[in-house]
Amino acid sequence: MNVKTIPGQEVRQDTGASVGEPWVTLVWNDPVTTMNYVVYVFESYFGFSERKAHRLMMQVHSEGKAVVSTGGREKVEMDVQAMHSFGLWATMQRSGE
Amino acid sequence: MRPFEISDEGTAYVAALSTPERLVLAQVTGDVVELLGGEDTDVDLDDADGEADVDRVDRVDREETEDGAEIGATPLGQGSPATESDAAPLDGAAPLDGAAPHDAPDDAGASARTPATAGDSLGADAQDADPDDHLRQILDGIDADVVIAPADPAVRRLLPDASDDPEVAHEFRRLTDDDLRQRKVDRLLLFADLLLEASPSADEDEQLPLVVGREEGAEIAGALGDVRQVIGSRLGLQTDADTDALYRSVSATWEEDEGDGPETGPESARGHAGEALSGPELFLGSVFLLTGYLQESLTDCLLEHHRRAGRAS
Repeated sequence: MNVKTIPGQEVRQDTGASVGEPWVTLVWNDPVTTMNYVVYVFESYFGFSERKAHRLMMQVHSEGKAVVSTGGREKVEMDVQAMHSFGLWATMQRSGE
Repeated sequence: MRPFEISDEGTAYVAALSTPERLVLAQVTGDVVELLGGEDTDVDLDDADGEADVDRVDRVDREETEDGAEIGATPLGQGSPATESDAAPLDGAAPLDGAAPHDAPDDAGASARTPATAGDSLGADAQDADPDDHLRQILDGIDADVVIAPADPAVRRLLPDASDDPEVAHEFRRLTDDDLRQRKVDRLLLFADLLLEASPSADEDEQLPLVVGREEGAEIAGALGDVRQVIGSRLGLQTDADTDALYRSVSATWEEDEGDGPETGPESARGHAGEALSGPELFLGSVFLLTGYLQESLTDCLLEHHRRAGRAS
């Protein structure tokens, strides 16, 4: 499955996504997952560019977390499930929380 | 071990592992399957029976064990029939051979004196039940079909809470737990099968190819990640610094074994707590590094293929 997201969407982080996208998917840093695997997941599942996937991976690594998708609850639930399936630590929360 | 590379035809990913490495990885992988509640059918290296029906350890239907004494402690660890016989192929298999685990449960008996096996080392502590889980289990008790969060922190790492909002986390778990477990179990079993595909070699150093079909690559990378998460949890890795220290400690013992490392004294293997790595920690640490090299190299292959396909389209 390949869920396309609008370029640049993720930089809004968890402070005020737009109306209509009430939920966000957060990926958290963990001490086990390798950096290239995180990049692979971001590129292969979300369809992010190499550059964007790398930037988000670095954000997870250095800041501890990054918002990787936004949307309705069901969409974000699906993304979190996919992250857990890949083995990444991901959570969902309402935008702005 | 030789890391994964894309095969000449581009249709597979090929690594190489010695026979002892294969057996260790297959055993550890089977143990993770059991932790997830999957049936450990194909990956037993011995003829242990009586272990075929492994119920999920963290379901409500196990909740009769009030104090959590058995939750998470079954089926790994204590008295597992796998421990004695599985230790044999590892003897002398540096660097993966381990010493006797010193933190084995008291009732582990004879198995605690065998060389470290994953069965000993990955077994859950009886004490790891989270009070929040208990509360949740009570609250959920009216629904026989409800799915609760795993008590074992290693399993919980594989199936984490999806939200700090208990209602959201609970609903997510109810919807996804079965599918996630099954997917993880299936790919772990696939990995174990691939590991045991080649005929064992009497030469412990002989590197035998491990061939992963291109369409299986992502599944195997995921399985390797799951194995590493369980080991990382058992080793208490909580920060990137913990992991870095583990890499340094284990690498130092490998260099020591080869006799060409800069550090050759008994001081060379130090864990992040400053204690010498030995026994089950060194064993698990070695498997952690080995699976790390495999996953990282396989992921590089996957990335290359993914990007190549992207450029072609």
